[in-house]
Order: sequence, then structure tokens, then C-alpha cells
Amino acid sequence: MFGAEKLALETKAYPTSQNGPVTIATFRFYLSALRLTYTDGSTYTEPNSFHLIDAEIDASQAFTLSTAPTKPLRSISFCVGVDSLTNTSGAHGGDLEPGRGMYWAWHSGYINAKLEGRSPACANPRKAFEFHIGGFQAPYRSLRPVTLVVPFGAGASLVIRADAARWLGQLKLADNSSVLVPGAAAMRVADGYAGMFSIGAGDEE
Amino acid sequence: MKNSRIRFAGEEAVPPNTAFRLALLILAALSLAFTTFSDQPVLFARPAGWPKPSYDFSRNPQTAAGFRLGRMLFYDPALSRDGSISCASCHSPQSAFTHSDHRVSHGIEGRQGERNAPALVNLAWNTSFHWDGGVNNLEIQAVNPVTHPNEMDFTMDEMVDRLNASRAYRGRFFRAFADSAITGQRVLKALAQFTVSLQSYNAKYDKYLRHEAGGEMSEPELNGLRLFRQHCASCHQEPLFTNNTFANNGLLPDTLLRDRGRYRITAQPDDDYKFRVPTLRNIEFSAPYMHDGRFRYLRQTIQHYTSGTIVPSPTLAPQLRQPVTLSTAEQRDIMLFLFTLTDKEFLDDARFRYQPE
Ligand code: HEC
Ligand code: HEC
Repeated sequence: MFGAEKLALETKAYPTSQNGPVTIATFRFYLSALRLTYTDGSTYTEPNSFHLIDAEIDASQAFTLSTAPTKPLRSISFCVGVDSLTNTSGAHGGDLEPGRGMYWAWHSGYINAKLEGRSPACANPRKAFEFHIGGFQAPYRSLRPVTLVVPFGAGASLVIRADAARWLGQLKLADNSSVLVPGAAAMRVADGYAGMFSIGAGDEE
Repeated sequence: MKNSRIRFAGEEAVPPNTAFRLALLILAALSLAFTTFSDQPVLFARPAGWPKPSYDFSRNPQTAAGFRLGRMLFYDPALSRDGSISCASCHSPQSAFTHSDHRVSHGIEGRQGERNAPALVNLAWNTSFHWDGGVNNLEIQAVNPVTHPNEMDFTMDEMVDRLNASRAYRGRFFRAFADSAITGQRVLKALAQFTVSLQSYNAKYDKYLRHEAGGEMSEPELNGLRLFRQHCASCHQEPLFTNNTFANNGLLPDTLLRDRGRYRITAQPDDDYKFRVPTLRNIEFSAPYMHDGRFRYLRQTIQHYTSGTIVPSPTLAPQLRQPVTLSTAEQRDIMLFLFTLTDKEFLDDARFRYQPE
């Protein structure tokens, strides 16, 4: 999403108050440790829960929890990023394959989220911004937990909106348009992606 | 041929160590009879008295098929974009799995890397990889050479596609993983099954400690060991000859490459110019030396520590702040001791060599 619209990559410049017209080239993140809490107090934790969500790949934007009970939900929680055990325990498969462009080889670790694009606000000749946010070692853990309350009466199909505009709204591109390594700057950008989610209506898509 | 098949640890109820050593003995006999061929797997075995390995074998259980597949991948230039370079191009068995005669390694199209390829040996005990320790797991290490523009300059996905197009590989992946789908994860796991088995613990020094035949050390060698324990072993700790830490051993920083070592990973001023303490096993054959391959001869490395060339700096290791003074004879003894770390059984082990498959 970008604000109220479905995000179009590359083709569209979105007006923003802080950063001028912004074009997004890459918007990608790991959603992990998904957990559902039902109104009756019970919970469901998705096993081996790692999803690479990529604005470029429609198929990555929906998944089914086939073993989750269908009961009224109270809340849904997950993390943005990959936990530290997974970061240190060797080669993984599926969405965690290190060939997905979300892995730093020379300084082992997953990139939790990527946001790239262009804006006239950027203080570089290409007017481009690049955020590759990762880091799993204290004090620079950029994994961020998110909990969303599910509105009363939501059905079995739920839409989580990830809004690039909200993330970008936390960033001042004129001051900093590139963060590519773990550290204090990455921690601040990570706070931005923690706040970009909301729950949409089931028919929205 | 069938009867002389070597059994591997786990097939019989003896401690893995005995089984492994037994295997080497049989092999020696075997290679006399059939000089060219050996398709036996080598599985990891922890030598008696050695620390617990850091590598988590439970996440990548070794099998004979996995070892063979890993070896095939290790020697296959198909892992590089233009099909010209294999892992073994830079880690050759003839030189203790390093890049002999190259200060820094060369990749595809002769592109020059920035660092000297380290010896691949006893990797199960490494707590980190690369000279700066930036890589945290053996399995994931191989993403680096495959994707590095100065090394194999490929992408994981293209490499996987290329391998998937090969029926022979699909068959081998099936044997190793009970599934013929080739994925990046499986390529990495198979490579690790091979590289983790590159174990060296049958040097003269080891036999000396185990009171075995072939372990008789001369007086100068023993004196070298004594001096080594006094001046070197705090970092090059036995039996691995590394304590897995990072240290600045007083090399003059290279002004061309400006390699700041561990600092590159941690950005901590305390880590400036620190490099991973390398193992010294098979050091006789792993020239050139140091992270940038600046020394061609082993005696130069010893002279570095003993002839007042240690460069003072805020991060210089405390042990090296006082000059190490050793007579020429003592330096020679240390060198003679270092030669006792040469493990011929390991270096000549045909099972680690390229096998026509
Ligand atoms: C172009 C030369 C080159 C090629 C090809 C190459 N390597 Fe390396 N290898 C190096 C260099 C140089 C280093 C040290 C890198 C550093 O410290 O930054 C290294 C380091 C390693 C290490 C870490 C060793 C340690 O003790 O830290 C392993 C393991 C390794 N390589 C395995 C492989 C495998 C497996 C392949 C094939 C997929 C491969 N290499 C291909 C040059 C190469
Ligand atoms: C303070 C820790 C420390 C001490 C003490 C020390 N070393 Fe080292 N040694 C290192 C480090 C770190 C390196 C790698 C440096 C680099 O490449 O930048 C190294 C590299 C070497 C190498 C080259 C290895 C290779 O594969 O390139 C040799 C040989 C060596 N040391 C021998 C010795 C000897 C002999 C002594 C005792 C006289 C000694 N070291 C004492 C830390 C130490």
C-alpha cells in the first residue's frame, strides 16, 4: 500500500508532505513469528513462520494458515524481520534462501526489510534512497514486534495493510537517504516499519 | 574392490575416533593397490581430547552421499558465472586448501581479491569465518565466493538453475537429501558436509602427544614446541592452533588495500586492524602468509615476531608489546616445530581430491 492506494512500483510518484513526490522501487520485508489470539483466549502460533513479502511479487502477498482454527480473532501479532537464532544457524530454505536478495553475505545476517526509491528530497545526485535494514546482535537488533487488534466481526480472511507511506513518513530523506548496515541509524528506521501496519477489511485487496 | 570398502563412523559400534583412524590405515593399503580411485566418504570425527566442535551437525547430518555431492560441487567450475573457477581454484588440496603462490586470491577473469585464501581445515571448531570474522556459520560462508564479483561473480538463483538443469546433479541431490529439487540451501549444506570433514589431526605433533609411532620429536623440535608455548600459544592455542579470537599482531597496515579487519564488521575502534588468529596446521604448505599474503616464506613470519618489526598501535596485542627476542637458533627451532604440524595423511588423502564422477 501507499497511503490509501495499492502501491505501484516505479511507475508512480506519490506526493508526500515531508519528502516531496516519492517513487518506490523496492518494498520488501520479512514477516515472521505469526501468532493469532482468539476472543476465547486461545492462541495459534504458525510453525516455521517466515514470509518474505515483496511488493513486486503478488503471490508473496497472501498466504493461508491451513492449520489455524477458524474462530473469532482478538488480535494478531508477528515480527518484522528474522530472529537471531535463525540468523546464526546456517543455511535455510524457502523464503529464507540466501539467494532472495535479503541476505548480507560478508557480514552474515538477514536484511529484515528493504525500501528503495527516488525522491527530490534526497541529498545525492541520483536523488535515490536505499534502506536495507537488518542487524540481530545487541544493541542493534532491528527485529520489531507488531500487534494488531482485530476489529470485532472480522471474517476468516484478513487483510494486513503494510503502508510504505507510513514508513516513509518516519524518515527525513533530506537528512539521510541511505542506511545499509546494522547500527543506530538502522534501529531508527526499523521503528518506522514497526508502525506501518494496520488491519483492513476482509474484502479489500 | 567391494570388500576393501571403508566403513565410516556410525556404521559400526566402535567409537567414531577408532573407526576413523582405522579408515585411514586401510586407505593407505588401498591406495597402493589402486592408485587413482577412492570414492570413500570421510565423515567428521572428534579427535580424543579435542574441544567440542562449534558446528551444529544436528542441523546438517552428514551422509556419504552428502559428502560426495559436496566434494563434486567443491571441484565444479559450474558454480562460477563463466564456468571458469571452482572452490578448489582458490582452495587447492595441494596447498592445504589455500591459493598457493597468490598473495590475494584471483577470481573469474583474473580479477583480484583483497585477501589471502585461508587454509580450509578443522572448520567445525571455527566460531566465525573470514579474516574479519564477518561470517557466522560455515554453511552460509559459501554465499560469499559464489556471489562475490571478484570471485565467482554468480547469483545463488542462477547457480541453482544451472545445477537443476543437470540430470546428474538432480540424481545426486536426491541421494543426499531424498529429494531431487536443488535449492540454494541444499547446495550450501552439501558443500558444508564436504568442507567440515577437512580435518587434520595426524601430524607428527599429534602423534607425539598420543605417544604413537611416527611421533618421535627431535631435540630442536621439542625446544621449538617449548618456545612456541611460551611466545605464541596464547593466540595460536593448541590443539587447533587458534583461540578463535581477533588480534592485531603488529603488521604494518597495507596502504593500498586499507584492510582494517575486524573493524569493518564491528565499527568498534578497539577492533581496528585486528584479524582472526589463523590456525598454523599444515602451515608449511599454505604459503603465502597473513591476511594479505605479504610473506612468501615461513621464516619471514617468525622474523616478523622476533626482529623488532612489530608496529606499535593502540590495538596492538598486549603480548606483543614487549619485543619477543629469540636467537637465530631458537627461531629455527620454532620453524622446525611448525613443520611438525604438517599432516601428510590429510594432505595426501585421495578422498578429498577431485574424483571423476
Ligand atoms: C577467488 C578465490 C576463491 C574462491 C573461488 C573461493 N574462495 Fe573461499 N576464500 C577465499 C578467500 C580470499 C577467503 C577469505 C575471505 C576473507 O577473509 O574475507 C576465503 C574463505 C573461505 C572460507 C573461510 C575459512 C576460514 O577459516 O575463515 C571457507 C570455508 C571457504 N572460503 C570455502 C569456499 C568454498 C566452499 C568455495 C566454493 C563455493 C570457495 N571458498 C571459493 C577465496 C576463494
Ligand atoms: C597476539 C596474538 C598472537 C601471538 C602471540 C602470535 N600470533 Fe601469529 N598470528 C596472529 C594473528 C592475528 C595472525 C594473522 C594476522 C594477519 O594476517 O593480519 C597471525 C598469523 C601468523 C602466521 C601466518 C599464518 C597464515 O596462515 O597466514 C604465522 C605463521 C604465525 N602467526 C606464527 C606465530 C608465531 C611463530 C608466534 C610466536 C612467535 C605467533 N604467531 C604469535 C596472532 C598472534
